[in-house]
Amino acid sequence: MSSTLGSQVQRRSGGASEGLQALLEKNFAPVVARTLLMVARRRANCAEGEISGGVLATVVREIEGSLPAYLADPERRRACVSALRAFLGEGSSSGINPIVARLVPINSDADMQLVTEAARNCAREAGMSVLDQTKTMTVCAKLARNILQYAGSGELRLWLVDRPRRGLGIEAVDRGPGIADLARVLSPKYVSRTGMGIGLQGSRRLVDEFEIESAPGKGTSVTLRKYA
Amino acid sequence: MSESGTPIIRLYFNLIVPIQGTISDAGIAGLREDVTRRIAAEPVRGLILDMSALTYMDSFVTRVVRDLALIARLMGVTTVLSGLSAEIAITITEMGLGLSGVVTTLNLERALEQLARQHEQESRELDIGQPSSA
Repeated sequence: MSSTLGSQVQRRSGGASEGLQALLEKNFAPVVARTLLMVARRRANCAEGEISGGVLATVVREIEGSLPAYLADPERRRACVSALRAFLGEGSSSGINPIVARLVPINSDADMQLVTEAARNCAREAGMSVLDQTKTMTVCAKLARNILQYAGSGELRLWLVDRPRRGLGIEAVDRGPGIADLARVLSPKYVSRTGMGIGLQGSRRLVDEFEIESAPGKGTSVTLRKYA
Repeated sequence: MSESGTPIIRLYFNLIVPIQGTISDAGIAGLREDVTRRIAAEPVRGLILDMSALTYMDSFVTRVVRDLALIARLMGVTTVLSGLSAEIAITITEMGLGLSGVVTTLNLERALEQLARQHEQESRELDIGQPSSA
């Protein structure tokens, strides 16, 4: 999913800021649209200049995250989110329920509790059993610990999915040093400097889909699916 | 309450440590120090790590538990793990994590019984009757 998304994002990145502004103005007064966009860009660490390819998806997610505060009507909110997704080039066929459930910034040890609480609440909302809730919390905790340990800070995003089955989408993103040799890190023989050395492979076994994208110096993004 | 934020309770000759899921890296270092200091200073023969307050156990917490058990063993103290929930047990085995070498019991009560039995047996084997510090 991430790789196709990446290419589409690149294609649409020209004039992304103006495009988003125009899109938002269809739903909001210009000043509100500007505020929404500005806040989202600031959260995505891209407050100035043109929105670059890889950041666009983050900005759109941030806007989606703020929508409930601005649009009380779920129908209008859904319509606005669909428009945003369409703008991203991501069709509804991706099976993502358009409403982002939670976004948890990860900056310190103290955020671990927020991460696992959000994971449990979302897993429960997605209709998971207590066992799957436990697995979801375990995986999210692992991802958050990795971010704290290797990147210092990042964030965890959780959203509900309903296709092909009901479940949870999980994404852990950071702008840390990245992983130079992904194949090595994911191989069963790999032992990290800390931990039990089976964290990533172990996490992989607890979820239904697991995708990791990383480049040295650019950060790491881990995207998961766990179905109820 | 110790500086690590995790309480350590002494009951007879055992230390009981309720492990919290939210324990931080700093908390871990503190806990390790607190536990070893008390083992060295007090007539302790058993260490019980109670996991019943945990809602999840990732590889980090698993390692903490394994390390504490190993440290305690090197200091002559037996560690018993109690109160692991079914969900956590299934999750850690599916991840491929193991806690080999650590005695586990269903709950705290069984852990105390287990340690009491073990002490009794050891005393008999040494044929010194009741421990002098009793």
